[in-house]
Amino acid sequence: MRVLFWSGCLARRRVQDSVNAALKILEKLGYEVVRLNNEGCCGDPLMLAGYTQYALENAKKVAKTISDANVDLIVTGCAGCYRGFSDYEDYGVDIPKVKHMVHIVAENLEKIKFKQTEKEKVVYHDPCELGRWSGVYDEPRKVLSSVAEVVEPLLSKEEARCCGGGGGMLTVKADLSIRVGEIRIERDIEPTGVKKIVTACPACYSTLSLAAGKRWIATGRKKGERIEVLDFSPYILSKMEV
Amino acid sequence: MVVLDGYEFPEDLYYTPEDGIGNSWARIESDGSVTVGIDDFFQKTAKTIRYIDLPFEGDKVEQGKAFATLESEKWVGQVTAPVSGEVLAVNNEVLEQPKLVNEDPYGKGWLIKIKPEKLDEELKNLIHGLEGIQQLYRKSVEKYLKK
Repeated sequence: MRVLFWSGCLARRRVQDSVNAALKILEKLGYEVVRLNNEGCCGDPLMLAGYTQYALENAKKVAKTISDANVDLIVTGCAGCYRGFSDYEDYGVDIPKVKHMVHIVAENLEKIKFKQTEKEKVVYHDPCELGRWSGVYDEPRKVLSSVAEVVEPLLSKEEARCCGGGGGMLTVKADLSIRVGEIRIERDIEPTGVKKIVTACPACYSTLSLAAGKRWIATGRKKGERIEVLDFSPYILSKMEV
Repeated sequence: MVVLDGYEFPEDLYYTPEDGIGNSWARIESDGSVTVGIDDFFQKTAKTIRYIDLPFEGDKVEQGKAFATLESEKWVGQVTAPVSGEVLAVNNEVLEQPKLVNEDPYGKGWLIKIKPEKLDEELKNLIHGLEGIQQLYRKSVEKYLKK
């Protein structure tokens, strides 16, 4: 199947490991992957900010570029881009079906050979745009359960507290954004005792990662005590047999 | 102080030869230790630093190898060590207030102090002086600002 892999702006600039990992997973699964030289913006921030006219103009432009790529499916590792593309229909703009990497891996789970290692405990953080907005709760848990023991944070799924990066907050109000992330870690994740968080969104990954670092420093910066934050594709790739 | 298009580079410091982001400076202190930080081009290009991960006192660092991770809102990257040796001190103030590297990259924004192992030998691999700084700056601009 010929798929377009859409990186998303944040992953492209800040979470390049996630892009590389997703591309490797798709390649291993036998997809023919196409990428755009001029990817631009999916329009999600415009939609969230209420700039509907700009969002519509942008969506038409993006749809034309995607149409020229002649693909069967759009795949992204970004929860925001996934939600943004899912809204194109509401704007009356036609694009191929969109899937997140959690869907792709979940659908192909039986084909994937994972390393035979002891299952470690990981907390899964639900990105708002994948969870509350799009209702995608089961797929990431199904995949992660194959390679880890999934522990729920104190608030999860529909009730999951914000990572702090929602709505572009990390870009416009970084200090507040990271503080919200620290609250998420302090109140919902630290009580579980688990030292690894997996999420499926570059904004959640970036914000929680910054927050985990700040929290670690604030609590004495003890060796081996830092909570590690990982994005979905790099984590899954690390568990796959080479 | 060498000032190139608004970017400041103290002439008495030694700089790692990698172009642009990732570059670090080294100051040889009177007690023989080496203070390390990131240069003005690095901090301005990376924008406001929000988190810094540094080694611990007693850890070893190696010339040309990454020893620190810096993160801004839309950028994450590593810093390479200018000299090899043991970490004598870590700037705890900068861990708590990462923006100090933006506000004062050659002063309060220092990252670590190193007890160098082979200083004389390794200084030869670093950039020092006006001409070297100008070349380094041109390479950095070419790579990061002229895309």
